[in-house]
Formats: sequence, C-alpha cells, structure tokens
Amino acid sequence: MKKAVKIISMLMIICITMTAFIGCTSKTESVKDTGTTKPEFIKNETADKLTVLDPVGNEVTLDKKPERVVVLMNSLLDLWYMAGGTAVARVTGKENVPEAAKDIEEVGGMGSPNVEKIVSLKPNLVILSSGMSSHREIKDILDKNNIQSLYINYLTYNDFINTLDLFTRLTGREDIFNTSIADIQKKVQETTAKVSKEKKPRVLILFATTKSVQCELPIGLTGDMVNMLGAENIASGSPVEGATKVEFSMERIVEKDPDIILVTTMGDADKCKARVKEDIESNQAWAGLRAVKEGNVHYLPKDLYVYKPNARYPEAVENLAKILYPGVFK
Amino acid sequence: MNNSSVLKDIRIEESEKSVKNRAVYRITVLAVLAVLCILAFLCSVSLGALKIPVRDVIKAIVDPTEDINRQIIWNIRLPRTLVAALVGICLSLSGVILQGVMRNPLAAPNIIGVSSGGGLAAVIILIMLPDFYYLITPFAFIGALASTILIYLLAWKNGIKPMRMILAGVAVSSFLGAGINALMIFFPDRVHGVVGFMVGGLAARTWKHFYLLWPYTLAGFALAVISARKLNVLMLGDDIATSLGVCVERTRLFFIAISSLLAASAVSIVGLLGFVGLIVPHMSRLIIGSDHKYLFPASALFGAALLMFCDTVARVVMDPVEIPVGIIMAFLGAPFFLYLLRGGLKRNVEN
Repeated sequence: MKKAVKIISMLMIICITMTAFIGCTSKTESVKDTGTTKPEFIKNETADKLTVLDPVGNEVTLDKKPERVVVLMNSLLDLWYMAGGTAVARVTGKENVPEAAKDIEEVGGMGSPNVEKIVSLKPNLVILSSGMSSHREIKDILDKNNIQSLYINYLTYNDFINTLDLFTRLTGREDIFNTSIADIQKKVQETTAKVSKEKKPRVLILFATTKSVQCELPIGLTGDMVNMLGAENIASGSPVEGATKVEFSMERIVEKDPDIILVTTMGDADKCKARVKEDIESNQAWAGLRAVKEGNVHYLPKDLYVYKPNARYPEAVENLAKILYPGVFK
Repeated sequence: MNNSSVLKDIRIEESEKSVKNRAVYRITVLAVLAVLCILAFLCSVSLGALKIPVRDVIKAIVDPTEDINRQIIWNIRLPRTLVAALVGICLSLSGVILQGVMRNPLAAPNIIGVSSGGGLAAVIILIMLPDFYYLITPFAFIGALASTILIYLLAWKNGIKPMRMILAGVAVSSFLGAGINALMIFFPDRVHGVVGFMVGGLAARTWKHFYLLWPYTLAGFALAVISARKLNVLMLGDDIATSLGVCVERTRLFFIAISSLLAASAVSIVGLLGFVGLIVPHMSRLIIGSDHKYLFPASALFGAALLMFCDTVARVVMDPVEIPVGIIMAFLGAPFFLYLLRGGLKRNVEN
C-alpha cells in the first residue's frame, strides 16, 4: 500500500513536470508563426479588398482604405502613419507616437484597452497585436460587432518590412513602400553588406540589470539586429526558441566568454550606465569576463533598442554595426 | 488541525513513558536532515550547466588561482548555493514561527504582508523607476516590514487576536496585490523584469547578497531557538500561557517581529518565494512533531536542503536556460507535501 502511494506520487511529479514542458513547447510554436514571408501572408488582393493570413493562422478579408482606424499599439500606430494612414484613436503612451497622432483620442492603455470606447468610435478597422492577451480578448467582441480587425505580430526587422508592405496595400499607398521604405531597406542593406566579410564577434545581449541574467535571443528586437549583422549571439540555440528573452545560465556565459556585451535597459541608459558598470565590476563572476576586462560592454539607448526604431531602423542598425565592427567604421 | 494535533501531541508527550525514546528519535531525525542538507549542498556546488568533475570542484574551492573552474565554482555556484540555503532557512523559520504564533496552519510569510508589501515596493521600482533598479533590495525590505507593521496596527484592538491579524493580513495583502496587478496592467511593456521577481529566483545571486543576508538569518535563528520554549507555551492558548507567567502580547509581538525580519530579508533578495514558508514547516512538523525546540532546527535544515536541491534542478534541467526556482519548488514540493499529508510518514510521528 505504502509503496503504491509512493509510486503514484512519483508519477504525479513526473506528469506535472512533463505538462510544464509540453506547455513550453506549444507556446513556442504559436510564436514561431511570426516569420511569415510576403507571398505567404497576402492571400488575395483586389481593387478594394485584401485577404491576408494573420499571425495566428486565420485568413482575414479587409476593406481597403479604411476611414476610421483604431490602433492599439503605438509602435504599430507609427507604422500605420508611415504607410500614409490616419487613425481616430490610439492607446496611452509617448514612445513611438507620430506627431500627427499626438492629439487623437485615447482608448486606455495597451494592456487594458477600453472595448466600449473602441466600439463607440465605430471604427472600420482595429489594428491589434497578436502578442497581447488583452487584444486577443477584444477580438471576439469586435467580430460580434462587425468591426474588422487585424492582428499584427511585430518583433523583428522582417516584421517591420512586412507590416509596412501590408499597411501600404491597405492604405492604397504602395508608392510609399516603393520609395521611402525601399530607401530604408537600401540603407540597412548597405550597412549589413559592409560587415558581411568581417570576422564575426560573439555577443551577449543583457537586459537591464545584473540582478537577473536575462539574455535576448535572436528573435528579440536587438537580437534580430545582431543577427542581421552576422554576429554570433551566444544565447542562441537555447531550448525555448519562441521567447524573446530567457533567463540564461551564468556558468554558460563564463564558459562562452563573449567578445562584446550589449546592455539594453528599460531605464535611461545614461543614468543606468554608471550603476550597471559598478555592479558588473564589483561582481567577480562578471568582472572575470574578457569583454568586461577589455571594456567591451556597451549600453544601448532604449528608444532604438527597447522600443521599435521604425523609420530609424537604418540608424539603429548602423550604430550597432559600429559597436560590433569598430574596425570597419573608423 | 494544527491546534488540536499540537495539543494532542503535547498530551501524548506528557503521558508518554518513553520520553527518552522520543528524544532519540528526534535527534536521529535532525541528524538525517543535517546529512540531507550537506548532500544538497554538495549536489548544488558540483552540478550545474557545465560538467566539472568533483576533483576539479574541490581544487577550485581550495586553490585560489584564477581559472574558469574557479570562476564558476567560487564566484557563481558557491555564493548562489549559500544564498539558497540562507533563504530556505529564513523563509521556513518565518513560517514555523507564524504558524505557531497565529495557531493557524495556513499562516505563512504572505499572511503578514511580507510578500505583498515587498512585492509592491519592488514592482514600483521595476516599473515606475527603472533608473533606480539598485534600490530594489532595500525598498522591498522596507515595504515588507512596513506592511507587516500596518497589518499589526490594523489588527490591534486591546491586544492582538491571531484570527483578526490573519484576516487583516488577507485584506491588506489583496489591497497591495491589486496595486501590483494594476501596475502590471498599465505598463504591459515593462512587465518582463517583474515576472521574475514575482516567481522568485536565484539567478545571478553573488557574495554581495550572501553578506547582506547572513546576519539576519543568524540573528533570527538564534533568537528563535533561544525562545523556542516560549512559543511552545504560547501555543497552549492565551489563558494557559498567561497563567504560566508569559506576557502573551509582548511575546507575540516579539515573534512576529522576528519572523517578519527573516521573511523580509529573504524576500528582498530573491523575490516572492512564499511557498517555502508555508510548506516546509508542515513537512518538518509531520516528521519531527510540534516541539519548537526541535522544530526550529529541523525546519531550518529542511528549508535549506529543499531550496538548494530545487535550485540545482532549476539550473540543470533546461540548460542553458534557467527556470526560476519558485516554479521547481512548487512542482517538486507540492506533490511531496501531499504525500506526507496523506500519511506517508504518519507511523513514525505517532510512535
């Protein structure tokens, strides 16, 4: 009898642990859907309708040139304005809000938008972020009210280009995509081309503090740019590929001993700098790293490397290239 | 459950002819726990993301020449293991004291507002003032103590009734918890650092944290063990305790103060690992009985061993990614606790 209880409890432990990991993997898959390429996500296009495959795998048909648009994420709002669109409402916040949209109506915070207010504005289109659970909850209500809505998953540079492609088709301003956006792409390509033959540095991207070791993976914003520039992210190839940031083993960092450490922070980079530096240097585990000894720890400003750089992508990529390949940009 | 079983325990103890046998059993249990604790320590220091042979581990500890093994063992694993042990001791002692003082089996550090107060303070820093991230530890400490004091004052009405304190604790905790949730909802883009704190983790804890923590642990442990007898008396009920010459009010305040200091120091360093404080005391009580003279050292050893062991698992399972120890704790600890609760070791305790 006692043995049976023992066995059952062991099985329980195993089951619970297993479910935890299964939970992890399925999450991974849902995020993996992001890397849709252009021919894949535009399913059908006519003069006034556009059918797209959204990041959660549904085909959605939208009316072109929507008049009243609500955008529930400010970095997407910025892209929408770049694509020649206008909006009637946005969410609260200051970062990435285009000048022209400063005074439009606000419908609550990004994490808690007010559905009633959104519906009462009678929008033709609501632009949502598929990464936000609160946005997923709203989607149903919008559908029931016959309000068209569109999920966007915007994490990387590719997403940036694809989203602009999609937005310019919706606004009917493909000319913008072919001129100014093409210009951005060209500048970014020039930078990546310059460094393509260089020796690849090994990089660690650290988030915020030394209190935890949160490292950014290649799918994160800065991780993606590091990847575009051909550098090797020492945190890549970790078992949870879907996440943008993971808690990384300090021991592995010491073992891999990166050439360059990039620090992104939610706070003001300049103010944090001295403090993070002191923290790192007073901590023997960090201080022993080659990058720290040789002064190769760089602090990245949050407006380009935590919030989306959008139109300033060329600048963000170039600044990063200067840090990663100081020899090329003298 | 606790109350009656404790009384029963004490009565059994008095009527027991072989008191001596009981003492022998308890000392044996303590010895076993001590061995477990040492094993967990050795496991934690010698296992990790990198496979380092035991011989090199010993060499790295003894020989201070700088190389990669020394760097990993001495600067990463050893301080982290020690911090885990201290946190385990702090939280489980805090839990034992609270369950005793409140005479309630559900009492834990979060009941006296340590988790919610410390949590809110930390979340305010993490979300509203990220520039001042280095203030998280002192702020969480102050927040934890402040909310305990608040709960104590709110529950005061010609003295403290444990039940009133627990209810006040639940109310204040949910009030502060609402503050945490509100901040997380209003600033969804900044939640990243917060989640780690809420779950509780030991990543990147170093000697600095160890130096911060050990004085509290040592003082708390010493005070608790010295006054174990008083807590035993207090558990007989207010009237009996008073008739035995114990100043109930003052003693209760004294114990609450110790336990909140212990829990606040632990929470400010590793985040909200509240679960340890609820479960370890019960596990220890199931194994060793309710005499605090033995229960204090037993839970301290058990808490330290459990946390060191779980942290080892947290580091190794998904290498190179680390899982916050709070999650491992709940996955491994809860089923084990249920096993004990269902009578896994009942025979021993009742003997």
